[in-house]
Amino acid sequence: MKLTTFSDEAWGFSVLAGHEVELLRNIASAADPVGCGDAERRLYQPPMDEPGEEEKTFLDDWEDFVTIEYRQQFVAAVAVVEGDLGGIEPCTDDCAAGQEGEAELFSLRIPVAHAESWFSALNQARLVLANRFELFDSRGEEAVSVSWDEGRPVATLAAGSANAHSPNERVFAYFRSQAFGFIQEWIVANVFTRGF
Amino acid sequence: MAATDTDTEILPEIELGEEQEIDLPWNVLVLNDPVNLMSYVAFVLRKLFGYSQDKARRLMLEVHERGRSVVWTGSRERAELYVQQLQGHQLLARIEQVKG
Repeated sequence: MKLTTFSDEAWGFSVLAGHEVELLRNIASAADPVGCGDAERRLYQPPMDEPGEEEKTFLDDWEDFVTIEYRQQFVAAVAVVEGDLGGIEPCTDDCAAGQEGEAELFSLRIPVAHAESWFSALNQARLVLANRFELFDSRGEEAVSVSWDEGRPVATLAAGSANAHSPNERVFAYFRSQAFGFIQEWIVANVFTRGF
Repeated sequence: MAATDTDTEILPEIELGEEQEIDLPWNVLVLNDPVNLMSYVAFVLRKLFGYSQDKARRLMLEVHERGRSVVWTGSRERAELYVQQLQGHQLLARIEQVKG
């Protein structure tokens, strides 16, 4: 996978392997908080902690108007990503130049105007994965640590870190979250900050 | 221009009841969370508040190291709007009245 700015109007991915295409296609399902109360509460937050009785109307209004607006905004961002993914196409000879092996490679061009939606969808996915698979402990420390053995990553779950999901599912969630975070870092550095 | 003794009018003292207390300002807080990228937090602070790169970075580091940072203080109405925008960018944010 290679991230590239194509011009002032477009950025995207080139040299995408089949499993990386699957990773991108997984963004929408990873971002869906259904069935995970903690993820729902993290995405749709209250505006204040420990509100007094006098804030009841304000909080009800927040729930009725602001939270609904967030839901629409977040769902719309994921829909933009899903729409863009329809544009994945096989790499041209130029794009695949220098790549070894015969596996088919793909590329995807995305309008710069969609970068915020991509960032939002990736962030939603990471927030949901973190809550659903408990990727952090209560102090914000990562529940999964990675070491390297002869060039291969070896993931270890922190002692006492239990979750309804299997260790393999949690480690897989961790690696997906790391990959999404890498794409986000690139978007901030190469697309968002262009105008600043 | 200084007033002379003859222009000075003494106004009656007004006692402020509970409901007439002068409003204290409201803080907009950003709280630390392990998911949001540090670069993104700084970017959002620059985008929403127009802060310089240095100020945004300082506030972001405060969030990261101390767990929270007051990123803006002022009227309740604007504080609500800022929190709405910060949460819309998926940052952990709250409003809190300044303690009297």
